Amino acid sequence: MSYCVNCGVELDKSAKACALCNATVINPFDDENVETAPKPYSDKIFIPSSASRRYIAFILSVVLLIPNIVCSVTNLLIPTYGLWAIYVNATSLLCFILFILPFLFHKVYPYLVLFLDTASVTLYIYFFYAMYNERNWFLLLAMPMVLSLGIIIACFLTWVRKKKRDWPYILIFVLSDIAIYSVITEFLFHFYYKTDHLFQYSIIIVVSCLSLIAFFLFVAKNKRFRAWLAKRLFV
Amino acid sequence: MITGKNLSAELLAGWFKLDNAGKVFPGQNTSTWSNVFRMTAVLDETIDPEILRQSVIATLTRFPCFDVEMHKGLFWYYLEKNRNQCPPILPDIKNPCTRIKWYENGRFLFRVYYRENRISVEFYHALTDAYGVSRFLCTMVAQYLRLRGYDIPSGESVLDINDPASEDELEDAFPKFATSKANFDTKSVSVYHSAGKRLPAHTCNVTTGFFSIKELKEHASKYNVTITEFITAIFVDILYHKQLNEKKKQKIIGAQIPVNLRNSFKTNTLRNFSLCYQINLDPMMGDYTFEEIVQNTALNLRCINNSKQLNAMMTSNIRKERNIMTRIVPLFLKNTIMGIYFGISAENTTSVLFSNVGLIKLPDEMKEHVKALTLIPPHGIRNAARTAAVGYGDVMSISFTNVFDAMDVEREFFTRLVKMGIHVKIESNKD
Repeated sequence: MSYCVNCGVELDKSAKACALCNATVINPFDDENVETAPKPYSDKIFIPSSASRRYIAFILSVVLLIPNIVCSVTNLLIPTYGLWAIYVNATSLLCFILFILPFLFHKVYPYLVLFLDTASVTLYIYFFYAMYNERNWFLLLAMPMVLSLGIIIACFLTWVRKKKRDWPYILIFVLSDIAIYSVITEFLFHFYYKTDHLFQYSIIIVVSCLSLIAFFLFVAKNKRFRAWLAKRLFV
Repeated sequence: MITGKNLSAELLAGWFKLDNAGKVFPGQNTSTWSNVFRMTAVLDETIDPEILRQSVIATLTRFPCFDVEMHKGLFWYYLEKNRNQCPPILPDIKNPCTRIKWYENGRFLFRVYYRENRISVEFYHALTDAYGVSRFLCTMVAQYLRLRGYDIPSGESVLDINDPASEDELEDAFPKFATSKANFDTKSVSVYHSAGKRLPAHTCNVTTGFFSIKELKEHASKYNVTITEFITAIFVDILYHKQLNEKKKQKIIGAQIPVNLRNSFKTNTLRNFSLCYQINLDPMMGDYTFEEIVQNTALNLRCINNSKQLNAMMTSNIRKERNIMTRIVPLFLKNTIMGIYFGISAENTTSVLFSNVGLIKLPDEMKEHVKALTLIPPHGIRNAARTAAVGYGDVMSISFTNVFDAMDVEREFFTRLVKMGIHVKIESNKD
């Protein structure tokens, strides 16, 4: 039998270190027993499976299909008010691609999901543009906005997946993306609506983001302040 | 088939409602908060899983209230006879007390593990408390030993598997004894929890210490207190000093002590029949010596440890359950509300939980084969000391389940016993 020199408790024969203080067990007379003695617990860790995401996604897809079928059939039987069911179908399809489709994949494919999301949102907007063709807003405003958002998210994904990033730097990157996107959006609005000033509202967003970026840079660099924050804000 | 003239209509029809205490657990059931606890028997020989399976099947017939699966009603969960013969007999794992889902494990709400010379059962708390589990484990181990060729009689904690389950073993004893007309006010205060680094999901540190009951009793008797009062006071004292050393605003230390109501109300129910005492110590009142903490703990416990107080507590819980507003809310809403409520308020009132199931007695013929018994409490979600104790022969085992990596409370507790001159043996699932 071995005792912990630090805690004074008797240890299990299989223990290589004290469970209470991690002090290494050194017993010159009992060295072989440590390897052969049965451990009180197995080495196998059991991680319980989580609910099947694909199954839930499938159920949600079926649930989403029901109002679409009902609306389509009703619209076909009562066509007096035009093809209104197509709006329901288009919105449901968009919801399906955005919120359900990613869970139907076996693995997570972030770039594929992002591509599908960007394409579906663009097509969804184009659908309304085609129905009410006014002032070429799709090509000059909506499509560049959606595509630039897609590109910004793709950049973020590439950066964050490259290696494990620290949380303050992730927040800094997100804030920078928000600032850049607000500038792009206002730039597009300026050219479409021919506003007086090139940048107006985006300056407020950029300044807010820059102040937050400065704060998080300070958090990232100052270890003491970070430790204090971790102590105060732990969840 | 369950029979008996005094049984409720549901039981006669083959299903029953969750008991009053059990009703809160499904709402709390998350991947990180399992409410699953474990009891282990250490034998003097290596376990044969096939014989263990046969003994589980034989024992389950004596415990129809555990031979069940959980189903959803519109307003409440209910339990129904399980269609499977017995749960799978599993090789033991390193991380005990992981969460149970209703549709896994052959839909049984308990698991059976074996390893080397150990048999462990893990029960979902909605089904029963530590008393029920101790009766099940002892009866199952006795049956296992019988199948191994030993002559083991029934008696003490071993129930006779040839007898049918009695009516009071199956009853929900809460409504039967909750007859108080008093209003029991529970004022919950937010208590001390230390910060710490969490272990990865589904893992926990389990540390069990074995020591002599006689030696501990000698120390407890110096203060004229019981073992439960003495150990609770040690825990409170440890956390009191731990908080003092942290040099921040001092919060109340809250200790929860589950109590077996069968000692105060005459029933042999195998379902949940326990309540929690709450003992608080406010460090803002001034400095406390250990003697003062022992006296404070003992006096508080003795003040509330009487059948009238317990009855009022029980009745208060029953009133909440019977409230028409509680009853008519659909189950999915109940689950959502309870999930949010327990997510926010969970363990706010508990700095330490100490569950002492007491002395387990076995027939003499069985004692030579059973070397030790341990009870492992369900792990919590906050950094609170969660401990459970069981006595067997002259040995008491106390187990800590901890989902944080700091082991300072465990270390302080066991080293204090060592400093008192008590011999302590430790085992753990840590590498």
